[in-house]
Amino acid sequence: MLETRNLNAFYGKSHVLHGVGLRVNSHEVVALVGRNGVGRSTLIKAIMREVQTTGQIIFDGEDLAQMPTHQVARSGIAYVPEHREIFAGLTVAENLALVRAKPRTGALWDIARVLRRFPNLAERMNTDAGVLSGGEQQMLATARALLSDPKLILIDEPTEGLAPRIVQDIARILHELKQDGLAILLVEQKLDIALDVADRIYVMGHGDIVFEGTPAEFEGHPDIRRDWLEV
Amino acid sequence: MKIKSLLALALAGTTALATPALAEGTIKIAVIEPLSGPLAANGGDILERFQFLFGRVNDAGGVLGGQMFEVIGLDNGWDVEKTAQQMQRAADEGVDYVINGIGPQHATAITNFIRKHNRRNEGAEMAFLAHSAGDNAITTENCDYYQAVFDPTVEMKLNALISGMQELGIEGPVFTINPDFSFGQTVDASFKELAGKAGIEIVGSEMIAPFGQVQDFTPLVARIKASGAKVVMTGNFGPDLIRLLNASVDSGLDVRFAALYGPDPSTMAAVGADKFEAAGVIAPFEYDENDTGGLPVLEELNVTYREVAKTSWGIDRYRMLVDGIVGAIEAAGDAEPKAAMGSIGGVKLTTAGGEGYVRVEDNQMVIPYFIIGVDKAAPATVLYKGDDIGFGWKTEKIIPAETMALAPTCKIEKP
Amino acid sequence: MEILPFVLLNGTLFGMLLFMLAAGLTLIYGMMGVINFAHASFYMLGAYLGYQVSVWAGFWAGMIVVPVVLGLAGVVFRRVLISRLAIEDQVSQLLVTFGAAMVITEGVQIIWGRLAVPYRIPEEMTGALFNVGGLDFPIYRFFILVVSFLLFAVILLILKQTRIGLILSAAQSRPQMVRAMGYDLDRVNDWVFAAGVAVAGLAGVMAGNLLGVYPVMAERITPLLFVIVVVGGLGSLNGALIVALALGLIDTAATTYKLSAEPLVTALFGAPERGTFLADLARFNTTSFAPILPYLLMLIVLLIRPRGLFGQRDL
Ligand SMILES: Nc1ncnc2c1ncn2[C@@H]1O[C@H](COP(=O)(O)OP(=O)(O)O)[C@@H](O)[C@H]1O
Ligand SMILES: [Mg+2]
Repeated sequence: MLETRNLNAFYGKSHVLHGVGLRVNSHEVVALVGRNGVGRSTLIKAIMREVQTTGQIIFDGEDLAQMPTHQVARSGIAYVPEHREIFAGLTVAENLALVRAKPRTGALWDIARVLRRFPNLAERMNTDAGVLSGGEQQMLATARALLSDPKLILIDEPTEGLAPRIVQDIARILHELKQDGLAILLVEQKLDIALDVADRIYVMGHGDIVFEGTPAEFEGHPDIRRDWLEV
Repeated sequence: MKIKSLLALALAGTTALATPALAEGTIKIAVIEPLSGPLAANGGDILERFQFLFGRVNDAGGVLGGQMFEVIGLDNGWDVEKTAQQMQRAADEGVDYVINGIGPQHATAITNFIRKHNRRNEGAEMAFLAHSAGDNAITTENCDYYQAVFDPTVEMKLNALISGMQELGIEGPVFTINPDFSFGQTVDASFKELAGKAGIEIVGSEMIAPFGQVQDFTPLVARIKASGAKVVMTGNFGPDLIRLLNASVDSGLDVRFAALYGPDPSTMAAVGADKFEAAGVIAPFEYDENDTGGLPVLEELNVTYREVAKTSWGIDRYRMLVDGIVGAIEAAGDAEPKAAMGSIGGVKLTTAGGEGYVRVEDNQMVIPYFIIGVDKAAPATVLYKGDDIGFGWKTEKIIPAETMALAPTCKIEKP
Repeated sequence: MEILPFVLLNGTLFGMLLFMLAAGLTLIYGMMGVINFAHASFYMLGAYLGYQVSVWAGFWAGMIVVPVVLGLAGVVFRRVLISRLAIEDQVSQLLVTFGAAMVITEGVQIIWGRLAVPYRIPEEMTGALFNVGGLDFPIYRFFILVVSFLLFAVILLILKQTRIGLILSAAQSRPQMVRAMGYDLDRVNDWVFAAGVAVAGLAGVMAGNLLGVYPVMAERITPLLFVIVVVGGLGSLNGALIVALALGLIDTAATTYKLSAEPLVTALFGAPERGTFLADLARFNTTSFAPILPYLLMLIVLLIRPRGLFGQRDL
């Protein structure tokens, strides 16, 4: 479904991704792990066309590298960014109302279904999104992504900075999304959560993929864990 | 036609830049005015008129039995620094007479240059002929053998205005509105002093930030209304006059306007005949196109200048300046400034309102002056660069030269 | 006191005119992060084009045609100049937009000359609507007042009641996220720029025959606009409205009710002699102070609250 080929990314002169190849199949949950600063968020941003790149990003047969950000979104990719990026100053309802009207009918996700999935949000529809707790903001950002009825959802560090109890909520939500059959590319710092939910796992080190495999295969390579993940 | 006149201006600018070597044996005249920048239209206009006027003199055989005038335009870009530079250049080119009038600070620069130049260059003196008095004090404080002013001073004009107002019965309490820079301050102070002497009551007065800074004049209209004034005297011009007249007439303010710059074609066009009439505008002016006083030269100019420049002759003091210097040269029998300027005081001038003269004491022109009022049915409507403004003026009153000639305040010392 | 309603009406009118210009300027800044020093030039162009169209096809045609034409011109202007400027590079923004303003001013002079053009109030709008305190309030001024309030109502309705308003407000804080949700912000910005310029142009069409149409009309009003958007808070439409109205009213009131320091100075120190400091102090009055007042206001607000009254971020 999504495949990057020889993907390089740059911030000005600094060369951050070095020929990354990564694949996400339909209905597959793929976790991207690695130490801080190795370029995981950059890869997600590259897919969303928010950084300069060379190489190819093929999604459903089309090269996203040739598109502006809004077309990537319209081709069926939803984005839950690292810092949630919810719209403070607008209410929860307004944040959700901002999601573009869906072109096709019979959409999988409508507002009722999203709110059933996130009952906390249903109670806070008229609250300024800026005053929500971190966990609620994460749920709002995820709900917003789901409402666009994506084929693939990119989630960057959903548990970052959240209390342990909330982290578990997020983990449960990720499992539910997997059950729904959604394709997910998940960047997750907490390895247990990543290994638990993912079908396949990529380990990134210094802007390149250093390991690719199932969670079970990963467990068989303690050296990878030692060299590329532990601090 | 606007584009054409701009082209003409651009050409004037380039000739000014590439001043041709002046011919031998001609009387050299330099018109130093803004030929570029925001006032280029005014400067270009003035240069055009002087070229036209001296051209007429040359066509009629020149002066002293065949000596010709040569007129060059020098651009000062309305920058005093550049005026001084152009004066140096005029001196280098052997210019005899310098003509200027826009902006008193330029007049001051020319005055200063000429004083110094004449002291150091005996036998190659230059003279300054000012075509506008403004508040340049050339004849009131800094009078000099080598300069003459061919425009009544602000005081003379205001004096004419006041006696005109009185004779016309436009006397009610007055509100004054003037632009807050040196010219407007002079107008304000002079008017108050003269009005005081004439027993005219001033019920309010305002100095406004000039050059279009005041967007809305309705608050002042409310003040005028509250003051009970029947007449508004103003030295406002351009947008400051347009907005003042618009706001007053639109608000139904029942006053008459004595507006020094009422006859400016651009203001007339922008405000329109109906509002000018509703505002009962009167203005002191040197000449009313619809009243040549039977002077053949004016009847001729009224026709020919319209044809040549697509503009009303309208302003006549440039002709008086040219007549003045020609008269002085003929009287002296010599075209050199040193001789001719000794005869300029005392030269008689024919004007539409009767005889005028250049006063001996200070080389100040004294002429009968017109108080003009709006005339929607005037036979000659004002034409400016091809645009017919659609209305004209009529003579309300002619103020005789005796009344115009306030006592001189400066006396020239002969070198 | 009788003239108070007259003062209020005219002050509000002037304030609304300023708002019509400031609204676009502040919204464009909010969306694009660019301070457009040429914004008032579109007001001037509106006045000149309004005059030109009125000559060819009448005033009412100008009311429709000019904003549309200027809106399109605004899109070209944005694509060619503004969209190439980086948000951080404020020096380039200043140079480019300032330069554009100068080019427009020169161009206007080449086409229409350097003197005011005869742009008149339409025949059917001349005359007084009612009389307050012995002074007429003209139909035409009332017309401008109505149009500007209608326009404000429409803008408010769009911003508060439609999805467009949501998109604009979201895009001002997180443009990248709005793009990532599938919105083509370049097109949105085209529309915003076009609308801002069209409203400024419409203000020119309506104010030109009231205030005069001449080449420095943009230059004269630009400083006031900046006071309004800065004091109101860059990007804040509410701020722009409140400050524009306040400026209109304060300016009008300070000029109408001239309060002078002279009686006070005379009472305290006796009649001052010419040329002394006391004489200068006695010369102080609200009328001559009125034109400086906006800048003083800006200085004070910037010192106390650098982001302006309703702004989200500091300058
Ligand atoms: N906007 C940016 N400009 C310059 N360098 C950046 C920027 N964002 C990230 N980087 C650099 O790129 C590298 C990868 O960053 P990132 O993709 O955010 O890492 P991760 O998400 O894996 O922690 C880091 O060295 C970081 O410093
Ligand atoms: Mg990251």
